Amino acid sequence: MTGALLARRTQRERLLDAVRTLIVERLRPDLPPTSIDPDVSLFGTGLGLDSVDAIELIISVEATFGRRIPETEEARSILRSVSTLVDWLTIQEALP
Amino acid sequence: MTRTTAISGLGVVSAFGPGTAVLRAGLFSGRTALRPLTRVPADRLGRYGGEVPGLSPDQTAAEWVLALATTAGLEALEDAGLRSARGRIGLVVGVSLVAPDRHPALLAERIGRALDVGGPRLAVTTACSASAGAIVLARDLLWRGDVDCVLAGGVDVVTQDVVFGFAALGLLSPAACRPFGDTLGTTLADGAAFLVLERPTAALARGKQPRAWLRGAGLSNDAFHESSPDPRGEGLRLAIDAALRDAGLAPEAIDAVNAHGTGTAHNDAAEAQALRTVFGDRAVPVSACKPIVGHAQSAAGALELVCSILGLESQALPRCNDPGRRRRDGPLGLVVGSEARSAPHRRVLSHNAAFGGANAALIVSTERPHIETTERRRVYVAGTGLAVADVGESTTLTGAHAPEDASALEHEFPRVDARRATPQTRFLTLAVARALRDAGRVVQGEDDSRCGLVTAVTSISTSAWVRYSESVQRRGLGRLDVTAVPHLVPGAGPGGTARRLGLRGPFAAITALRAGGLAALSASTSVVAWNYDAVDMIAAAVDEREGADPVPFHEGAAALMLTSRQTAVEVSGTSVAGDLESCIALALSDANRSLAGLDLLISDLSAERLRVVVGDAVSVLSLPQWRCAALSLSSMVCAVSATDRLGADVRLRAILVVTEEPGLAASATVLTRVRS
Repeated sequence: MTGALLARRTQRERLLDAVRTLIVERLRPDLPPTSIDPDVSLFGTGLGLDSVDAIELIISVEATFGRRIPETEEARSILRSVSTLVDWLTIQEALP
Repeated sequence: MTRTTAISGLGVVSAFGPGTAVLRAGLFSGRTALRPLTRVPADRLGRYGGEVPGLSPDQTAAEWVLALATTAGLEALEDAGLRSARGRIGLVVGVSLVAPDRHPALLAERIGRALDVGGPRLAVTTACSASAGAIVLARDLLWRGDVDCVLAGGVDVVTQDVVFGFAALGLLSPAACRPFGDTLGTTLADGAAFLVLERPTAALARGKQPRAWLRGAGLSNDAFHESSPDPRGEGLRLAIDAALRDAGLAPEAIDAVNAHGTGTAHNDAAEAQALRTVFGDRAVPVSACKPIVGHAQSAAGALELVCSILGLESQALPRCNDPGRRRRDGPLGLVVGSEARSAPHRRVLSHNAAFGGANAALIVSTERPHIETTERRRVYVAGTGLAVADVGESTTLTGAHAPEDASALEHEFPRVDARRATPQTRFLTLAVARALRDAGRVVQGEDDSRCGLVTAVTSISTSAWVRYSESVQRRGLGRLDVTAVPHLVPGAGPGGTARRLGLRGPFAAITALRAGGLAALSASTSVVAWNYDAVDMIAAAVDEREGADPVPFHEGAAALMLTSRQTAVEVSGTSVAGDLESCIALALSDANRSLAGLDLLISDLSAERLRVVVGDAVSVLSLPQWRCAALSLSSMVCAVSATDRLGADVRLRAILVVTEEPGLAASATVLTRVRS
């Protein structure tokens, strides 16, 4: 049980690092990766990303993780914050 | 003296199903793939369409597009014998799905990744002529040496939005369309088609006998109306004439025409008029594939070019209409009948037209022509223009520009018709008009067939999308606001600029996010370098803010006017590649320079990223906040100003401007100050 929990935590940290690095490298080169609060909203008032960033983020997430973000309202909730994106990636990695 | 290009592989998915063999069997059998629509609930409207069998209604339109494009692309690559080592293969794909969540750049990246092509991936977004335009731009990539090989074509599907949009414009036929016949309206279809293009020497060197040869190509804009063609057919005629000159052929050398032939009243009349102007009294055989496979929209140009090639291989021409149903003002040599006509022919002209006025003409043949390399003209910057809403950093570099207000266009250029322009068109028109003025032209909005426009667009005008969505919500799809529909293609914004400024020369719209601006510059440079008419070109880029976007958002447009007449600044090298390293190397090689021979490198990438690639060999100016297509091109405009105005004093003689959009493309340009 503890082993499984630990593995999940490691997976989450790995994905969190990867997503933060990706955002910094692609979209906000002026920020250090660790300064990105996982729960702050990516668009609008939070991190201040815009509609062009959204497309770039989808492209880089898909290219990096090989998972297609759906073209529906669901995309909005997946891309709300770093945390929601990491949650979605975690579920995707559990799928075959 | 032409850039004859080898077509070494073909791949399609048509309404008959996947594969060129299936298409060939359908095309020449007298059958049609058009039948009542099942996937789109279209009620009383356009009940007919060409749906590819087997697409699940549960999937999204973007998933259909990916599935069709992957199938067609793989067939083309395998047909060309390219099963592996796809590193230096580029992808230029015509797409035009309406909706911000089905972004052209996203589709281009997904298709490129699915096909495992490692070269640049560009989307061309000029609606119904997009894939024909893609083939023209792909040929430029090839002849500039950016890629060894390029997969060019397009893909599109029938969606509810498109069916209702065409219905609102009164363009749908109640039954299967009959181009130049007595039924008015078109029939929409799904489709994907790709062609593998190579330089002749490269194809022959690897022992590949091409299936056909692309002899010539031409582009133009009607500069007439957002959704109707110029009734004189002048725009289309310009594209056909350009293709003939490009191929070094007289109209008499064309044995058959594969017309756009949508079946709509305006298109068919304009097209017949253009053909009469080009061919005179000669009854050159004219076919149209749309009664057989439907109007595959952004895939139409490539799909119909494949049909032309299959016709050349089979020495047969597809039939156009049922007998006795031709219009009086149709083309003289219309191929009518219930079956394909067997006809010996060697050279076919295939052309397309689109919303936004974008025309494209292509000439293919199966005969192997003399292979000669061509001389490139040198290309210079004649003028620059910026229209940037939130100037920020760019103010400090350019000095003169203040944030734009909405009425700047009317104040500065009172002769230009600014009515009903979207913000996208407004910014673009202002930047392009300023570039024209900077080049010494009087901007009056009068027709000019000797100046063209290639624009990088990020997406459709976001405010036009909002207007459309509101109309759908308020009135329902069945009672759409007609004026909102033509703006749903990304090429509509630049088309509006071409119309307002009368620019009827070579026209294209590219989407590659931030790599788009310099890719448009590269494409424009090719036109000036290889075009025999000495046309001038404007390379431009535009970004429009979305309602929810934070302020400041870099919104605006940038434009450079290019010419073959010598000025103080030369565009001495350009490149578009799949990655940053190759792109810099290619641009330097094109300019015949080394890194050490540069005085400055300007980029929107971070200084760290640039150092990894160029080390300490050159001074770097990093502007990471300039992240949009327009702003990348703005940095180019600033670089020109710097080279032009400061060059004499500060020894700034060679500048490289470079940008990268991972997953899509990297693009670079070398500017040099000409010694006086």
